[in-house]
Formats: sequence, C-alpha cells, structure tokens
Amino acid sequence: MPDIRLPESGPLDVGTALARLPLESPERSAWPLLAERLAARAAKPPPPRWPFALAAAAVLALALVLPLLQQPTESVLPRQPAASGLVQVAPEERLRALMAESARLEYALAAMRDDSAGSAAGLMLDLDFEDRLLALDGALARPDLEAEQRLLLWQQRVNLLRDYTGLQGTRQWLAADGNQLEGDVVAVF
Amino acid sequence: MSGVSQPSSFAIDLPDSLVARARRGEASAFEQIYRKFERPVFTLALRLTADREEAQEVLQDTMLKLLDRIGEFRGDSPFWGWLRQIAVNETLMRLRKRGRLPQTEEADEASLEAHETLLPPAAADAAVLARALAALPDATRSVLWLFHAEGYTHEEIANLMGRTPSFSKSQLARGTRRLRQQLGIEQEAVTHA
Repeated sequence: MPDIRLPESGPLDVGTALARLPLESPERSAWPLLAERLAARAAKPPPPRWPFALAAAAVLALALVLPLLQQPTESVLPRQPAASGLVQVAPEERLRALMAESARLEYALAAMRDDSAGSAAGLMLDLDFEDRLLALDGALARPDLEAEQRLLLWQQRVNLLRDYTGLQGTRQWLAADGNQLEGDVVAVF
Repeated sequence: MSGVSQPSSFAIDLPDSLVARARRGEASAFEQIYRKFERPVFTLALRLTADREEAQEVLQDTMLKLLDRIGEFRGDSPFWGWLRQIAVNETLMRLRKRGRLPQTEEADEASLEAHETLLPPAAADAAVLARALAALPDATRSVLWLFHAEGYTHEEIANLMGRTPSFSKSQLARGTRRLRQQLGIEQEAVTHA
C-alpha cells in the first residue's frame, strides 16, 4: 500500500476520500495462466458446425498441421502456399491456424522470457521485437482491412514470433553455457 | 447509478476493434485488455475482501470468466461496466461462500446527518484510510465501496447482495459512522503523539 497523503488538511467527504484511494497492484500477474488457457483453446479443433465439404477440408488440414503443433519451435503453416491440387485450405481456416500458432508462440515466449539484465544487444533486440509486434497489432486493429491483408499481417505476426522464439531459445542455450547474445546473432535477426 | 464525485477506476473505454479482436480469440487483444484492467479488478476485489490473496484469486477467476464469456458481450453498454459486473459478482460470491455476508437483516441504522458524511483529516492518508476500511465487517465495507467508489445505487447493491435497499442504506450509515470513529481515534493518536 503506497503511503500517499492527500493534500487536504480538513474533513473529507467519505465518497471523495474512498474514490481517491490509489489503485493496488497484484503480487503476481494472472496473464501467464490466461495465455495458457487461450493457447490450449486455440489448439483445440473447432466444433463441427460447418458443411461437410468444409469439414473434410479442415480434417485434412488438421492432419497436416497437428504433428507440427506438437513441436513448439517448428512452424505450423508453410511459408509458401501449399502446392496446388494437394490441399486447398480455406482462408478462414488459415486465419484460425495462424491465430492459434500466434497464441501458442506468445505463451511459449512468456514462459521463456527472462527479464533479468542481459547484453545491450539483447535488450535492443527485445525492444525492436516489441516495436514490430506493436506495429503489426496496430495494423491488425484497422477496421477496414481486407481479408487477404488480414491474413498476410497474421502471417507476418507468426513469422516474427517464430523468429523471436527461436532467438530466445538460442539465448537460453547460450546462457546455460555462461554466454550472452552478441552482435552476430542479433544481426541475423 | 447514483452520482459520484469520482469516476470508477474501471471507467476505461476500449476501441471497438480491440473488443472485436478479443471476441475472435486473439491472444494479443486479450493481453491488452488484461493489462488495462488488471489493477482495477484487483483493487475492487481487495477493497471488498480486505485480503490480498483472495483478491489475487478473484483477479484470476474474473479474467478466466472474461475469456469464457466475452462472446456474450453485446456492446450495448460499456465494456468496462460489463467486466466490472463479473468482478463484483465473483467477489461477492466468494464472500457468500465463506459465510462472510450476514444471512439475516440487522436492525436498521439511523440515517446519516449531513455532517456525518465527512471523515476526519486522517482520511487524507491513504494507508490509514485503507486500514480503517479493511477493519470494517465485509458486508459493510462492500456496501461502502460499491456505493461511493463504484457509484452503484442502493437498489443495485441490494440486487447484487440479495438483500433489500434498506439493508444497503443501513450498512452505508453504519460503515460511515465506524470509519469516522476509527479515523477519529487515529487522528487523536497522531495529535497526542
């Protein structure tokens, strides 16, 4: 509880005094648990409420995606579109998969992230990542986005999270050996 | 809602697009909402329960309910009011489960005189006021906070607590008198020190 003394020295109206009490902060963030719940939900197959043909396509897509979902650092979706004639994934399904992957990567990052002091290069990298993510989220918040643009932005978001997750893994691997991220690795990112 | 001198700390307007993204299940949108409302939810729960650990649990459960129920939010009222309602319900349910809200009506407390709505100068010290508030019975403290800090009416508080408006009025009068008394004692202690 912050020991804040308000400027008044006379009697205070009870409503004013109570409403002026400062906001309190919890000792622990509940976000990691929420992120975990979101990721678990996103990884679940959606309920079967679409027509059979779409459902069949989704099952095929899931068969391709599921093995990758079980490997946290590998990609869920191909960076290039699937070869024509193999599996045509509906845009809504691609978007759903990208959002699921995005949530899963964010959760993985929250679990991996180490905010303790590191190298200056590593810190710059973290800030750059946050800037890029904020810029993408800002673009995604635009109400006039076309479906294709939205898909592209989500793909960029997943790519960014993927790269950064990989880098965080490298950082942890280096830290286990007593090293830190330095210029060469950062330059690659 | 009744008129209040200060707006609720919950009164944070969100862009429709952010709420829409959360409704679609986007984790980043949920995270932004969580960051904005973490402290208001925790503070509300803390003021009602006077227990930090319990407030922590309320924060978690409220946010989990937000994830589960955001599809029910229709947008015909402010998002913050909808979320606050979940937080209040969650907190009062916990107090009820633990038997911390009285099951029977107590004798009506006489209405407050105008001068009795003023607190001694010690109320200007946030730590002192928070301590005095925490020392009140749960129901009394909850009514005081919901009425004054959140702006609920006696009718609304009565509905939330499953009691009558006169119960709410009575608790408000009793709580204000006890606060005045406790803060007066604090004030005397400071004066004589």
